[in-house]
Amino acid sequence: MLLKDKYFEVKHEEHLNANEAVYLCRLKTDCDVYRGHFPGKPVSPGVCNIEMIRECAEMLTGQDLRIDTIKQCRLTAVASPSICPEVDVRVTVARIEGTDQYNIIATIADAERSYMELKGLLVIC
Amino acid sequence: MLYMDEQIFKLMPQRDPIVMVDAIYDAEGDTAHTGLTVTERNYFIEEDGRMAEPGLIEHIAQSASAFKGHLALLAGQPLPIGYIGEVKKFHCYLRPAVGDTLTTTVTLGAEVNGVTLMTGETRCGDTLVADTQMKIFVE
Repeated sequence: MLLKDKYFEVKHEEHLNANEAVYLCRLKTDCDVYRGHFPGKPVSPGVCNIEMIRECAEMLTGQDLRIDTIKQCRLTAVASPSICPEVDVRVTVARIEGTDQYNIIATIADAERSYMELKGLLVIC
Repeated sequence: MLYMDEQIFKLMPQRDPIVMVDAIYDAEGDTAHTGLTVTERNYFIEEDGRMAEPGLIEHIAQSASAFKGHLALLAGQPLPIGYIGEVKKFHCYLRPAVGDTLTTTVTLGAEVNGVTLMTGETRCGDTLVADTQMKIFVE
């Protein structure tokens, strides 16, 4: 995984059922991405949060997954390790019968606000 | 060629290690053509030497950001800082490999309350790599 233990760490995970889990993730302040995004003003890149969702979906399914389609991904608030040191990544997947694909719905939020809502299609590598 | 490599830094605030566009070939009206030659120093390069999908999304977003920076520079306005507000109908057809040169067409749509609609399409040679719609929020 590209960003697990580099950009984020999983502090706790709660499996609600076989297809749904919540990962409490700590955003690491020392990730190298903040050198460039942006110099002197660390902001968590939205695309890193998309990748964090993919990696949580891989942990949930135990499969290597690619992003085939993002139907919609709304970035609803600016995130950073100081704004939201820990976030809940909630992932729900549904295997599409007869295919190697999963529908995914995911959110990133803390007690204060929501940062991301994503709907898409993942495919097993 | 309008801008290449570090000349792009005049147009957008992103810096190493997450600079994901290295050329603006041309810009006319609402459309620009940008590029990125994938290297192992790019963000989102996986163990198999291919770029993961979020890298393509960031490449398209930075292409739009750099294009808007170019337009601001021409107009004598301060450099805008753009954030992705929404990604819609993103589709990845293949992950490019280190050494591939990507060419991207970005088309800016209407701007309403600081939010610009855009479409982006990335190719490697003639092969479609990814396409998407986005809303870019400019600060």
